Order: sequence, then C-alpha cells, then structure tokens
Amino acid sequence: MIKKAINTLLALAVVAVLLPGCGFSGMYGALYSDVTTPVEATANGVGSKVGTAEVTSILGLVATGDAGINEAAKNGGISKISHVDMHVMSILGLYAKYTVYVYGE
Amino acid sequence: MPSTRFTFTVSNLQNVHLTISTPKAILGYLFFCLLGIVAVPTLHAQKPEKSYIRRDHPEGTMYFIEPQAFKAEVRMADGQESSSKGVADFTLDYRDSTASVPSFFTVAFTLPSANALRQVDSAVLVAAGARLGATAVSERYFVEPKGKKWRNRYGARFEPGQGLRWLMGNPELELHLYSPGLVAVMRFGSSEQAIMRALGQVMAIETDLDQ
Repeated sequence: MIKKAINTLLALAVVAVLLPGCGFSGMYGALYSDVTTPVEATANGVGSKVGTAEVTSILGLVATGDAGINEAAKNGGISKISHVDMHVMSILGLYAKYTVYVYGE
Repeated sequence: MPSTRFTFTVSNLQNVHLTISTPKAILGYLFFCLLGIVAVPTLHAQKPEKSYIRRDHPEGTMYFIEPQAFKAEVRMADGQESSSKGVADFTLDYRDSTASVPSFFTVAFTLPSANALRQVDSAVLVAAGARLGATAVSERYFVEPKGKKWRNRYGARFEPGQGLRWLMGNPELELHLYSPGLVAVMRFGSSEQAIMRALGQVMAIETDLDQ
C-alpha cells in the first residue's frame, strides 16, 4: 500500500517535471525555464500596443487560463497583429506560467 | 515505521546509504511542492526587469509594464459598495520629435463588476491624495460576462508626462474611474508600486517626458 503510494507520488513528480515542456518548441529546461521565444510575425508594421494572456500550471496536473493569441489581442485592444512572442517560466514543473505577448495596432 | 532506503554508489568510496522514513519523505515532497507553488510566482513577480518590455519602432520606443494587480472599491449611485480585484498594464509610446503623432501613456485595466460598464466618462491618476492627471479619452476593449460578474476592460489615454510622474509618485498610487452611476477607486499594492516606480524611472530617464 505504502509502496504503491510512493510509486504514485514519484510518477507524479516525473510527470510534473516533464509535462511543461510538452507542446512547446524551442529551448526549455526540465528543471528551470525562464525564456522568451518568437511565435509568429506578420507583414504589418510594429505597433504601439501590447496585449498579454497567460496560462498557469500547478504541479503539471492542473492548468488554467487562456493564452490564445485571440485573448491576448483582445486584452490589448489590437486588431492588426505585427508579431507574437511567448514567455515560459517553469520551475521543476511544480509551477509554470506560459504568457503570450501580441504586438500590433 | 515504514522506510525507504536509497543506495548511492560513489566512485572509490563505499556505498552510501540514505534512509528516510516514508511519511517524512511524503511530507517533505508535499512541503517542497507547496514551497514552490507559493514562493516562485511571488519571487518572480517582484523583479522589475522581468515586468516590462522595451521595443524600438521607426518613430521612437514603446515601453510596456506587464499587468499589475489592484484592489478596487466600487461605489454605485444607489449607495451600494463592493470590492473587486483586477489588473492594469501600462504602455508608454514614446515618439521622437520627427514623428507624425505625439507620445502617449495608456493605462489598460480589467475591472470586474456586478453590472456591465457601458462606458467610462473619465479616469484620474492620483498619488498620495493628489491628482496628477486626468483624461476623458478612453477606449473600450471588451465587456463580457464571467460567472455572475462582468469583466470590463478599458484603456485610458493620458499625457505621457502625467503618466510618468504618477508612476514615480509617492506611495498610495490610485486610479479613479468615473462611469455613469459608478465610481471605482483602484489601489495598487506595495510590491506592484515598487515595480511601477522603478520602471517609471527607466522610462523617464530614457525619454525625459517627465520634465
């Protein structure tokens, strides 16, 4: 019984460390990440507005939020997008925050 | 008491044994998780250099301070009072002397409220009780329902000098909002104000717009 509990906890810990890297391309550390990477650029000129949207993950098990480009553009009042970046901050998979930055007019 | 025994092999040394009782191991792991969940976001949020974006464009530079949390007191015309929590971000679009449009400072905020805000009449920047700037120029980004409340997101545009002096102003930074039948006072916490002050100084030094 106790061995089973330990195995479950260890499995959760491994999943928590590995999960935040899933689905993202680029350089991410399994132990610690604090990186910004490009997502997309358009032919529109650099704008004067920025909109952000984020998703937060706890223990790699529960994740909430909306980090879509549409949500970020809506938050910034942006209708013409010039480019999109994203920032990932993760420590041991225990806590991770994924933020999308949309630039435009 | 049940225990877990870990065996490590270190070169040229005898095996090293580490024995931890199982309940302690589980409690230790949970404590570590809890510490990470509580401490990491807090520590990360307190760094000004992690809280802003500076980007050059053909006519100048755009500075963006990431969303900072505030607590709002909302007073309705019928005397009802309520409180809510929201976020506000700040954009300084600095344009040089050759630019076709002037520089401006925008406060974009999300204010949850019981009733939808159809419009914002004016917004006032207040620091330590003193009015440092006011504007009637506001833009509605969106108004949408969320649960039993409404999410109202607006952007208020100020003169850049007023905005920078407010950011660098005394503690007790407030944004007052006037809407038909509603007055909201948004107050920022001390850690948020410290970030806003530091980044306001960065913008003031680089643009001289506070002069």
